[in-house]
Amino acid sequence: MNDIARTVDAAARATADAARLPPAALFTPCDENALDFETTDDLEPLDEAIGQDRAAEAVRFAMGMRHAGYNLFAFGPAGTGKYSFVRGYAERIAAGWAVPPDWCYVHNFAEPHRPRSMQLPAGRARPFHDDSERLIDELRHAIPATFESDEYRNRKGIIQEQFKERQEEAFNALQARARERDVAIIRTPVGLALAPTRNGEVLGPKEFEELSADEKRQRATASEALQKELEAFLREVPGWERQQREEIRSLNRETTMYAVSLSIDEFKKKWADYPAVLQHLDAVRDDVIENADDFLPQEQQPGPQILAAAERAQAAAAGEFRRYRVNVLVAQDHRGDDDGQGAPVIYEDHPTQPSLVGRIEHLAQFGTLVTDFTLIKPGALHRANGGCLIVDARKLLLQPYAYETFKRALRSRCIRIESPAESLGWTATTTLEPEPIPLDVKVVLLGDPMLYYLLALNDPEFSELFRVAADFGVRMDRGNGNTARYARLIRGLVRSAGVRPFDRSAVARVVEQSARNAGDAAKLSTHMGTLDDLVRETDYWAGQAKADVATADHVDAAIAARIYRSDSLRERIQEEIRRQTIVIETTGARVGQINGLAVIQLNHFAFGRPSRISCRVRLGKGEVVDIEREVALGGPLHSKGVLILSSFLATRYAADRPLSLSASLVFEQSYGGVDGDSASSAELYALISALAEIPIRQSLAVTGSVDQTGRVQAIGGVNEKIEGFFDVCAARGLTGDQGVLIPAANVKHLMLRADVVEACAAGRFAVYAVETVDQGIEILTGVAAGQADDAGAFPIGSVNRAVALRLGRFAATARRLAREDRRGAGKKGDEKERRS
Amino acid sequence: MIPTPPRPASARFRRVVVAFDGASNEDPAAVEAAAAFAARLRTELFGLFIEDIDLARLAEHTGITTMGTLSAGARQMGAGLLKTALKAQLARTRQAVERAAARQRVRSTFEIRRGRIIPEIQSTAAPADLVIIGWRGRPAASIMAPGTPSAAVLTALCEGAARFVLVARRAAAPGGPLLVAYDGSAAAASGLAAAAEIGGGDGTIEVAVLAARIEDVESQRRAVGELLARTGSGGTIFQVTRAGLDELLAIARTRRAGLLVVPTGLLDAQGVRRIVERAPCSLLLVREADAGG
Repeated sequence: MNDIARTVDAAARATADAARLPPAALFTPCDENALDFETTDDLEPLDEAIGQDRAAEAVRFAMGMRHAGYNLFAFGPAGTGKYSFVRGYAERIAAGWAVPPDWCYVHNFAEPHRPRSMQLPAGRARPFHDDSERLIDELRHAIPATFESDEYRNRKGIIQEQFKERQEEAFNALQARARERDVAIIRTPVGLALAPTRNGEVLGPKEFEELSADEKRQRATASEALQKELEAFLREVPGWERQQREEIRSLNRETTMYAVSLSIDEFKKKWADYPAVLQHLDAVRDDVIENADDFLPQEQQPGPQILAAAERAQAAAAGEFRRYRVNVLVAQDHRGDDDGQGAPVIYEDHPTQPSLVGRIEHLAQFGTLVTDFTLIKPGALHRANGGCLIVDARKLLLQPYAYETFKRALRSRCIRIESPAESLGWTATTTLEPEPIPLDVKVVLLGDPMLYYLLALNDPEFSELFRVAADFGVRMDRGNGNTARYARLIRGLVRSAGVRPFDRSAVARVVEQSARNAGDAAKLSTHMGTLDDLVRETDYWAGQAKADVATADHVDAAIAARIYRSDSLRERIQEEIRRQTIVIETTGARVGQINGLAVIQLNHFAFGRPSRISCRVRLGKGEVVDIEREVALGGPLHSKGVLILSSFLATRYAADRPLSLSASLVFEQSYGGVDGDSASSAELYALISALAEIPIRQSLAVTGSVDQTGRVQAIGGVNEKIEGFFDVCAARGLTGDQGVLIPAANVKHLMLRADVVEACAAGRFAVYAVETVDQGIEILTGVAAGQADDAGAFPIGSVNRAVALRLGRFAATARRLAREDRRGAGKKGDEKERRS
Repeated sequence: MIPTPPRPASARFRRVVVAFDGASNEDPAAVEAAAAFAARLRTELFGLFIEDIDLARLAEHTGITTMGTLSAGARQMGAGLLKTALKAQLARTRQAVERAAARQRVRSTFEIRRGRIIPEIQSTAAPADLVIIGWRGRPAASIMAPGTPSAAVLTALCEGAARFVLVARRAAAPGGPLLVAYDGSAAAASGLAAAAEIGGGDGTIEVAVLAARIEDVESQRRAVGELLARTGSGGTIFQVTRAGLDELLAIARTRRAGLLVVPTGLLDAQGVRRIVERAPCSLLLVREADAGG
């Protein structure tokens, strides 16, 4: 037996030796000597994101397709450089597009609440606006001057004089007739009255009574007749006034026409090639002629202060002659046909509904909200019209009504300005309905992949409007000259950030860190945000060291400082492990207990956390109880892992008999949720140990998932997990026995910290790559796993045999108990029968 | 801070007389202007309410028929209703004068006379009074614009006892310089002196020299300069050739005058009417002093 055991232990040792990874497998360095430059200043900068060939092709295609609906959704994790790439690319493409036209709004004289939109060639809106302002200024002076002229005053005076004479003549004649008939027309506070007179004196009641009956009758008759005449006269006066007003209006029109024609004709000559402008100018001329009074000085009227203020405000508003102004909505800074200016590329950082489609502002005037076409403000769609608009999809979706309005504009291919309240019918305030402006824009939405797929799945219109997707990856191959391109990319970032050049050691270190960030020794991270941060932070540390060039030490300092700023939680956990508040054993051996490894992700910082997993077994009915799941702390992936290992156990050890086992698995001292199947191999080892009653070395920790055949599969966060256990061991003193079992499939992902690599090289720590559960259990227990022979029997002294025997015992016990139960049940039945 | 010494009471003006007839509502512009002038000249504000004798007799009748000037419709008024309207008119006017005086902190007297408007004003207003009447109507027959004194009233006033008649226009813009039309007459000199007093040395006085002959221009400019120097006022003097009434009004309009001072010698009866109707600002008509006056 001892010989057999020794043979088995030797096999286990051989397995451990074979699985132990050499230092070179733990970290793939970037050879700085292979970099053919001294500092990044020697390199041509690469200003665009690299490793995004697929996304670049999608962007190129979308920008090239001028048909409707070929808008782009660029998706990828935040920080992958989507915005910089898309913007840079769009700007290069749009520079070759035609400069879009200018747009402005002018007053609609026929329907004032529907301002007219006017399209002008690029660069013409501002001159049109300026000419309109000049015209207003000219009219403001020319019209009053014309109305001040002697000719106008004389003609107006004649009209007024004629009216007055006519009125006075008629009234004087009436008064004369009244006098002849001894009646006076008297003005009273409540109108005109007729009074009897004698010798020109009004008679009082007493004197009137003294008159003879004939005299009284004569005056009464006269009063009656005169009253009718007076009435007829008073009725005629408004007609005369109206006639006078008409004559004055006609005179005003004629006078204004004279004043206006010169200025307008000059304006029209200058803009003869623009029919819309000419049409507008005709309308302006007609309106000015009709409203010449607006240009004349207003006489101030006394009255309550508030009314006076209101009148002043109105006069001020009228004084601005707003309806003749031009509201330039979009004006291209056009410098000529060959200036390569191209079309605009706009990024809307705050995509609310108004900031996208524009808004109509209001002014509060004495409790009333008023507006006009000059208060129409453009949105991002106006500014980007004819070019490209970039919007963050998440921000767009977070703004009320913005997404729907945005889609409506894209679908209808015109920009219609409406407020949310208005479109929902929530406001009764009279507002404007500006004429819609045709829309021709290439839209790029930026977002994460989940958002893209959610929209594609749930919004039928989305796929119609955003037919092209650009998928921005987070990793790229490290080989194929990509390291050199990466160095140029760093050069570009150095230049754009305006920081110190990086020497090649620094570049090499950045490349290594990028591989670590990518979680793969053969890949590089394309997360531009992280890379840019590292470049800037390295420069800071180079500055602290008063260095002119950033070196690898500065990169390391930047990485270390960043970790230090983020790892207080890791420190606390490590401290509690050292103080044995959290029990993690790193020496000795225990049955049914193993060190598992989990990863905690805090924003951009992740670290490994060892966890003690324990397993207890007893006779049962074949269930493996996942305590984490029972208390709802285990996620579905974790539960799946436990079910897989249960299946493995049953098929390997109890394929032809019932699995009479009850096992319970638990993450000790775990108070948060557990998910993922990376601990399933560890759980399986603990279960096997518990069944075989063979202790597991506590100096080792395990990560890896298993399949139903016992193959150990790759997991994520392998570097962090190894380092997490290493830190615990290092704090207690490295013994040389300590190490971590990882799936062999994860070896290519290893980019371990330098101290871990050094410890492994010195034989003070080890990383084992295992492919099967058998390999793992041998390393963990120091006992051979044992392969089943043709009859299905495992070798004596092997772990598997011990497991099989234990399960066999459970099964035998279960059968015996079942028989006794049946026998007991039979006796009870006989007694019952006898009694009955 | 050194307190500003109070201005002495006006030597030229004894009081400011603001006259009202019973048929028109009080003119706030005239009342306010009168109180403001009284305060500036440190004189008494005298409110004269003339109950027109004809109107008073008419009010005694029962069953008066009146005719609305706007509605052109006749309406029968009950007994005493016109009398009540006249009383209310009187009370409002008195209140307006007293309030304006209180605001300007000037002494005020309010007197009611029954008679005819022109003789009553003439008998009340002394040469040393500044008579203020309102003008808020448009150029139209006075019968159609209540509160607008007829040209006859103005002419009579200008030819009567009052030497200074101020027509306060409510349509006039506030502020602006005092524009004095100077034709070399004694009335013009009085007008200039009155303007200096009204301006109080801090108002802007502009003098338009309206010399009939070119050779008189220099002497008149000199005379104006001396007059201004005597009153301690500064001013701008400019000459207007071929000056008629229209030119004067155009100058007042261009220079946005606050008060136009015109000697009545420049105006005939039609001229009075035209200038009152067309002036863009308030108007001070100055009559030449009677012999020994």
